[in-house]
Amino acid sequence: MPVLLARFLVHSSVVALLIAAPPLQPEAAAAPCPPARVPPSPEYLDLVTRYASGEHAVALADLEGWSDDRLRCDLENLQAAAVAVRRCPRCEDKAVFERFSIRAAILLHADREISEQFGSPVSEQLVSCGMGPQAQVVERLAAMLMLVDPGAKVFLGRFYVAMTRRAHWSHCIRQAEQWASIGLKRLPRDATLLLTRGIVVETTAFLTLAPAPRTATLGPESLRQFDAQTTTLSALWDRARSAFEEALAADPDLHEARLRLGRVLFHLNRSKPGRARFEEVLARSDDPILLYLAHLFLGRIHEEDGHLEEAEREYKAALALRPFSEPASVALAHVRLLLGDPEGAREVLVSALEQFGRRSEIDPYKRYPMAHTSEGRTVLDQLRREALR
Amino acid sequence: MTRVFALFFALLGGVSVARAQETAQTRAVFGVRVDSVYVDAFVSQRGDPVVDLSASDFELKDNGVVQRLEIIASEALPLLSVLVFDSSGSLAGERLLALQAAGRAFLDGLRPQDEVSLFTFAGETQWLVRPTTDKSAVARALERLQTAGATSVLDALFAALILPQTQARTLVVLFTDGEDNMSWLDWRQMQQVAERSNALIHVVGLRRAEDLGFASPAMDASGRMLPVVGTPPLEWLHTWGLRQIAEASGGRYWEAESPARLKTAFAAITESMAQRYILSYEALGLKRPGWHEIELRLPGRKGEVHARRGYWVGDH
Repeated sequence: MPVLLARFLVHSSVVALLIAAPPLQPEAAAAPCPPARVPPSPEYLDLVTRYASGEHAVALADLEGWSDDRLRCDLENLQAAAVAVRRCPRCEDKAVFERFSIRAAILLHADREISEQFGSPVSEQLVSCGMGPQAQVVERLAAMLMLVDPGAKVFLGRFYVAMTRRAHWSHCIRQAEQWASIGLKRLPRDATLLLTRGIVVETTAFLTLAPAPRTATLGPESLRQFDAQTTTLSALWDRARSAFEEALAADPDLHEARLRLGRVLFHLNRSKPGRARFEEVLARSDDPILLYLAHLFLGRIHEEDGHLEEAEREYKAALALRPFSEPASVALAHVRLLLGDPEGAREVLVSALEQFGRRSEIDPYKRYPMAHTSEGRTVLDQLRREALR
Repeated sequence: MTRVFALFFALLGGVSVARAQETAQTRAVFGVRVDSVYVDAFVSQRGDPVVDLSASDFELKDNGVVQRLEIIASEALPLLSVLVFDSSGSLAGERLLALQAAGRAFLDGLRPQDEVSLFTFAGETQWLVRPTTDKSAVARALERLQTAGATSVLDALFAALILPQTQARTLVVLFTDGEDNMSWLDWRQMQQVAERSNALIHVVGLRRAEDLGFASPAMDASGRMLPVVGTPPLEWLHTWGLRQIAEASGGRYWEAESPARLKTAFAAITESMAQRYILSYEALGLKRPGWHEIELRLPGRKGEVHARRGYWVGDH
């Protein structure tokens, strides 16, 4: 189907649903784009091809000089071609996407978005993040990919998880949730993406300050603040619960979602179902990190219930999986103190503190709330390698 | 002094008789019975310390039973100061320099015979200096402090309360500039631990921009706590929890409005140690295990009494 004809069909209802991305610029301000016989322009094709060939830094630097208007026309023409291919998979427009890798273009613009909008994280320092114009470009390209690439869902699922985790890694928590939400609009049943969004919401809840218990002496303004903050917090925990439940419904073998659901239920004062989730993780998972955390969290529930011997047993099991772990040692020392064994408490704690500076990695419990992993970078690297031509 | 430690030992959750006897053979300072109870109290009126009280001015009830009190001269007692300092990422720059200066000033205020120990915490707890009278060792460790990572306040405080073993009167000075975001223990658990130890805990918090509007009472340039006017503002749980822990031990939460005020807070804590009353009584007929509630008041005098609310006797 000729591109010109296809452009008239862009707004047909079926395609409009698939192309949900916002335009790069407001339509009113944009000059009309001349139709390209074979999109994209040679310059844009060259740019993306160089990126796809592994010249990441060069392509990123070149992209910096591109005007929004120039890019807009390439995207419009590509979009028209994608719609044409969707309508007629065997027509001549498919050749456009044999030369031009939408996947590489997505990764190129995502890279640019990361460098423009995400900073390097420094713990406990304020960060400034945003969603920039490159994110809109990525969305338009993602919409095209859905039209022309049968493997788009798998690619995009991994891509959105990676972008969410990458934003999370930079402490851009709000942007992380935005990336997850954008992805879930396209892939609403993607279990890993649902889990990833839940983790971001859980982190947000974790970072939201809790007010001190309500007292009779609080004035009206303080009471209003108390109610607002309490409502915000419980809504966040509830959203996290919901995300983990959806993730589990989409993939019952996603044990991280099960573990996190248990922990969120604990925060929501629903220890009984929380305990059941931890026991399920212990029964079904073979991931040592999940097992370690499940023992710790289950021990805490036993401790809160006053079952100190059971708590001690779980903490010991956690410590057996990660010898000298500081959180497990603190947990065990504390319960030993409650059991009337201060010497035993000191012994386990001293052993843990002696390991200061000798641990090769951050304890999973310490990493759990902020979910600070480099997984996003790793997956993006994998996707770039896979896009190599 | 043996008896002071006997109380300390008992407070840490109690021990079985067998374990206590075995330990007593290797460490003579351990005991298995609570003979004397020591209560470290501070009295203030409108923010100023009241320092002219005698034992007869106080009335103390131990589980509802009025006790006969003596005042022990604080100068006669050795002191172990356990410094527990935040070294998380948010301390970088001016705050760290101010903390180091405040720490040096605190060390300068100690007597030669006083011991000091240093813990630091970020994502993990580090026991940098074991109890020593060598203040210069602590000063050197303070100078080498580096900031990075998250904040595990409560786990560090837990270690500081249970690890140093001493017969001395114990003062714990905890400094943090942020909310706990990594600890295993929560404030309720730590309050219980504080109640079961005999350490006096002072917490120094550094107010952050995001705390404004949810402020807790601040102090003036001389370290006096400013009274709250009108209804108290809403407080964040992390600050409130630390206040509960400090007050459960008879200590206080000091909030510095800026790094420059840290030195004032630390100096005020040192000064207040000399203005405290150490009340002693024989807990005859009250040796039953469990929680002992202490009520301490001044029947004929005006003043606010700050002292621990009770103590724990182990089951042995």
